Amino acid sequence: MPRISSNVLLIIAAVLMLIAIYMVFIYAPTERTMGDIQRIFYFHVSSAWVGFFAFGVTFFYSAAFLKKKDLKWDNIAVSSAEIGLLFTTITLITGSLWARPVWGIWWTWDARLTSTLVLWLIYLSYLMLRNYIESETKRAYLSSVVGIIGFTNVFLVYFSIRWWRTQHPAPVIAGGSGSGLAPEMQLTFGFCLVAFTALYVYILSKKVEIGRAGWEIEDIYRTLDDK
Amino acid sequence: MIYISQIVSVIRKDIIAELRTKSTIGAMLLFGLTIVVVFSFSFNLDLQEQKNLAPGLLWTAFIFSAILGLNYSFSSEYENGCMQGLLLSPIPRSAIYIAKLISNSIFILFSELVILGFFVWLFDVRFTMNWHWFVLLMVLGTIGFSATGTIFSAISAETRMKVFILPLLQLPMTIPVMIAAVEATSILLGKETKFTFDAWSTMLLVYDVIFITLSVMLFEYILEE
Repeated sequence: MPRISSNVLLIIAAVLMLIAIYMVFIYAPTERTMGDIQRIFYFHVSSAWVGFFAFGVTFFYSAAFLKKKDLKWDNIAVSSAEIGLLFTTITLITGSLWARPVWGIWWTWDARLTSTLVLWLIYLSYLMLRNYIESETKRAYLSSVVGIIGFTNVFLVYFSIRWWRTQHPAPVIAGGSGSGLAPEMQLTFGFCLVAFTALYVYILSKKVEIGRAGWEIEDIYRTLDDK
Repeated sequence: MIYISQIVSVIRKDIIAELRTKSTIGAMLLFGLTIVVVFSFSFNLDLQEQKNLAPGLLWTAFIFSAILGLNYSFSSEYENGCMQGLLLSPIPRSAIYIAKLISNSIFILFSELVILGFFVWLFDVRFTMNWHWFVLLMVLGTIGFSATGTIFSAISAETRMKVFILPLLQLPMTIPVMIAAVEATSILLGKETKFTFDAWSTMLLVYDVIFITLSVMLFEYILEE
């Protein structure tokens, strides 16, 4: 990606994130029962969304790699997986911080919590696996297969644990009667989703660039070795 | 028809190799017995606790001994260049996967039966429902273990640190199988749960079908050079 468009992405992401922070802390009203702790919800759900979206991107580009057999797709898949892992980590941490004062516990084996943790474990092992394979093509093939199987599994994990037990608050938005957010909250939430997605797109573009730079360096080394 | 006979010949090869070396099954059985003995030191179960704990302990023993066996399913092929031979033979890759899936399931099921024997003997477990339902559960759960285990075994055999990679990939993947199998088993032991035995065994069946289909589609890429 050319430098200019990368800088444009940076500016968009930075401005959106700054506005998001302003909205979360100042614009959005304080929730009546939970108080200020509820504000963590905006970043928590946004990170969860980005994490899941990023793994979806990994799934898509893993399949693209297996079809086209071009390493550039694998580069996008792994870059997205790393970012997804980062945001899933943020989701788990912010969720715990919220649960402690509200539920009185750091952790519970609820459907959404547990499937997020399993998602986190699967992609951690996906990245681990890549470390243990020398050949670049082999690495791409094997991890693409894990990327596809792992993502499919998340749905089954989710349903199996949902049957097993559930404590996570029901979806607040579009969750039937009695649900719903104050309009300011809704706006803040929507804005956070957009800002986090922009942040994701920017980090992804940078990660992909780094991957490409790695190949260039290898090429340079190779020509130096030849001489 | 040829496809089926190709599958059968690979299964036969695996079983003959196993009967001659007895390395995998022997290790799985001893490991299973050791786990059950360690459990019996770690937990003192009375009849009431049994309903809650026994299913989990049993399936934990099953999955760990299964992983031990799965570790050697493909790495053994790399000794003496057997993998080369397998790949050079005119057998479609998907047939190799299905054959390995079946032979792994047979080995795992066999070791599970013996572990179950130890378990019933040492923990005095009593089923309130029919035995054949538990056999169905074992078959569905074992196929689930091998559906993903076989493809991950092939993946981990290609890496450094083979022995570590397989459990790292396999354990999070089998969480739906573990939940469904443990819940269904506790129903068989007389525990009241929200969902029925049928619901949980259907979930196992769905897992099996999804991951066998996916693996058949993806297996050729693993052996790609």
